[in-house]
Amino acid sequence: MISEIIGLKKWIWSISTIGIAGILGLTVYEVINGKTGVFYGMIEQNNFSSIFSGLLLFITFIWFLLAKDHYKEGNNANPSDQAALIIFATVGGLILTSYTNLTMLFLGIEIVSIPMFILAGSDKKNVLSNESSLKYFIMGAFATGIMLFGIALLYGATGSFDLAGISNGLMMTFQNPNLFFLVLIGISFLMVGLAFKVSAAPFHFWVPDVYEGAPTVITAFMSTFVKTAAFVAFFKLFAFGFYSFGAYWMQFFKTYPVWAMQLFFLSAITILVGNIVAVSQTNLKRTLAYSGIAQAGYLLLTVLLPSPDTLAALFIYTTAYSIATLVAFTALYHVQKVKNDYSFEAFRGLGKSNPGIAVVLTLAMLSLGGIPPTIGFFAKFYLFKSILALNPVFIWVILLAIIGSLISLYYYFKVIISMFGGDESGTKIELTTSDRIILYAVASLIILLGLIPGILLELGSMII
Amino acid sequence: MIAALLILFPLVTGLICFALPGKRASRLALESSILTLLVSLYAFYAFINGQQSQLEVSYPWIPSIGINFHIGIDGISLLLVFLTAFLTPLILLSSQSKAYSQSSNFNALVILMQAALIGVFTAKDAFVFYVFWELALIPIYFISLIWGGENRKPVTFKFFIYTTVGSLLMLASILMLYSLTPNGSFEISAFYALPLPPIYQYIIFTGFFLAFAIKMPIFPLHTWQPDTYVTAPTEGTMLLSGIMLKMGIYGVIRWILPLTPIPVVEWGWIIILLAVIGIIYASVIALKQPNFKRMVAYVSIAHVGLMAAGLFAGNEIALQGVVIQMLAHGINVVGMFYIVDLITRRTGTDVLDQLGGLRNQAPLLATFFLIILMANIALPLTNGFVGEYLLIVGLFQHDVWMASVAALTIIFGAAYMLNGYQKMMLGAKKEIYNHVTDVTTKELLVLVPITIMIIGMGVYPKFFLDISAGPVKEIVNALHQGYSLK
Repeated sequence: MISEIIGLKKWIWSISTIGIAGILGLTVYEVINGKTGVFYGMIEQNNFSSIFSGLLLFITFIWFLLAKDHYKEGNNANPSDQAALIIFATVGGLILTSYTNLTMLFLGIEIVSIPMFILAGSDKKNVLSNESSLKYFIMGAFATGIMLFGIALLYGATGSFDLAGISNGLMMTFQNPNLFFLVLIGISFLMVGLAFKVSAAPFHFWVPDVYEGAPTVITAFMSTFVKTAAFVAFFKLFAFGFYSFGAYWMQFFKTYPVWAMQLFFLSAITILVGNIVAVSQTNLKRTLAYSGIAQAGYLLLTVLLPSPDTLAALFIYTTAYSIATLVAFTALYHVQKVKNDYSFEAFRGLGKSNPGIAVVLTLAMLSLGGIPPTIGFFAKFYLFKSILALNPVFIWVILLAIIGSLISLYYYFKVIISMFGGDESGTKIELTTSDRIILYAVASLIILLGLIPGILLELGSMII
Repeated sequence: MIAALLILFPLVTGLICFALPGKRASRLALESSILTLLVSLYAFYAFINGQQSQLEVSYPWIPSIGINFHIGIDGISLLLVFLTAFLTPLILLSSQSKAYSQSSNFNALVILMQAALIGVFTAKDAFVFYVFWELALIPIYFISLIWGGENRKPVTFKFFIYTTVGSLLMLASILMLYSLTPNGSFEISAFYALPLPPIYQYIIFTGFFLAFAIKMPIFPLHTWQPDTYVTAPTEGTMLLSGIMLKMGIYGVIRWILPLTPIPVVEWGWIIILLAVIGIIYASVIALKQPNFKRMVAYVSIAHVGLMAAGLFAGNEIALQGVVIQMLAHGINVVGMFYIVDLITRRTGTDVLDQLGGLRNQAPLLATFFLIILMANIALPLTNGFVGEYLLIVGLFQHDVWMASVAALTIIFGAAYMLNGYQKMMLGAKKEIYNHVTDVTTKELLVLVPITIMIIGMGVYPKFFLDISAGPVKEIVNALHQGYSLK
């Protein structure tokens, strides 16, 4: 915004990109040097927060690189406002990875969401965009309200907003059945609020319409950054806030805690609903929205079964998912720009006219579907392995995820089939060289990381 | 080193082929495949019979999870690697007599598939096996999708999904095995060393077996096969039937028989039953097919049924039969599909009733056709006979009734094959086919090596049988020991 005032309009995007890169570099430095600290008891800095912050900043950085085209002259009048909003949202995401206090959780969610409400509606002439913004805002407000209610109940039961304090306080509630009841409802409400944000079923109904209506680049950001940030927050809450409570519960009652069953139910429904409904979609944008819902289902399994391994799996999976989705949305954006249509029909013959984009989109689809040698396959593989390592009986959970993956192959392949199976070749899509290079570079990460996932594993093991 | 070379060389060449223009890519692909063949022949030379796995390569890949890029060749792997290396140049030659659009991509995909197939046959680490298994699927999917015939989109997609269902179940089994290893390793030797309680054996068997049964295919999981074979371009069908289905059989030999002996023995009879039903079922349908290509697809199911039955017979003779039949069937079926392709391209049809009397116009073609056909019928002195004989004897030692029914495949084979030959080649000369030319030199380049292998393997199978004897003995011993431990 400052640059706009100064009159450096042309440079806004570059400045933002470089700025994000700079922060990313700082984060990497912190990870390497292992700095930790706690600030005012509200935010902590440790490997967990640094590594996930690094991931989020990486997503934002790539997004800035890929979305540059949307904000060229004439396309959109205020890149500065939108860049500023995205950066605000990034701040919110960073809070979500490093909070230790539930007020910061709430703040983080809000700081991420409000710019998204605005940006979803940023295509003012498109009625779908207006609808998406309004839907997102109203439903998001509700969800946040419920989450706040949950936070309040937990405070009432445990006397603390702090994660560590809550964890201790929860152990006390075993003696007091009234407080116990409050705790259960509080946890459930918190779960609902967060489940909305990560697009878990049955709180996912906003996702397809919002994703479809928003401008494609914004959808790309929403489905990668916001989802990742929300998942990190979700995991942190359940792994550090409620874990010891849950362990004690299992010793005491000899059954799984109630919220574990709720989470399992959520994740099972999400996997099934996300995949099955995606099959009937006719355009790529909505399909990617449902694909995001289904992937959220798999990720919820890590929240359900927190462990150092599943935490690493969360990291790897969100990385793989984000890269593949960003690539897919970018390809979609370029096709949509030329053909004004994002249904599967628009992709016919792309294999012949624009083999570059076609191959890149195919890689993204293969990665999301979990086909070797992509990073998406390794992510799924590691996720399954880490779940199974906890207890061989979880093979049934894995089977559920496998069934979901199989169904997902159908809609991921729909676009591949229309790109390569069609006979006619459409109009060639022009991409500037720099756009092309960036797109290819990011897409090549899909294969490179798939073949050499060692880096991700290293980072994953450092998180806890 | 050799094993790594056998995989890396086609892999790199395949990727380069994407970037080259058509003619150069074809030449590069052909040269690369011949080079791979020479390397595999060298592997024969360097191989010492009877010993365990040799020519191994093991690099740490993802050490924190216990995944090593471990490949090695033992007798059975060597034969299958040779099969792949032998067939790929023939398949490429077959494609080069036609003008495929974007032929550089086509050649590249074939070479890449060769790399993946060799990877499957030499993998000694479960993760590597799974990655190559899935990887082999991608080139054939795109080959069928882009260059296939009508209706290719739903058919190839059904094939992909069907196979992936099996693969993912196999992944579940692999992960279960991994979770049971003491140090978390995917090495095959670590899996072999596991003392698996029966319940785990049954679960793991199911996952692996479904994947392999879909791949082979075994009745009733075969419904994807006829359509896919017919829709794919000829070279795609050759890859599928010649080499890819051997992946399924090899998988059973390597990953089921030694690992899960109890279900193999307890449930083996069901599988033999299904396989034998498949033989009869496919043979009867083959008899009634009007199209020759579709008929050969069903013939393939019948032949595979016999091999699948032999897998579960649990004795050395049958397993030796399986191995040699894999080699023989690969060569024979590729030869058969090539002949089909030659006839179809010359006459424009493969409907049996429309053809006839072609031996008048193309006597040399008729001769080669007859030789390959006899190999498929399992005439003695052809390679088909060696395999079928061993399989039926081995099966007979296990279960007399099943073997007797399975032996009907010989009679059926003669019936549909000779019927097809009579309809196509013999009979009165048809004027409409006067334009049909005989085999050209380029086509001879494909037909002659196949014929040499047919007769060579038929007359002197000992060379190949000796190579596989050692591992086969070990696997059968492991099976019996594992079962007796229960």
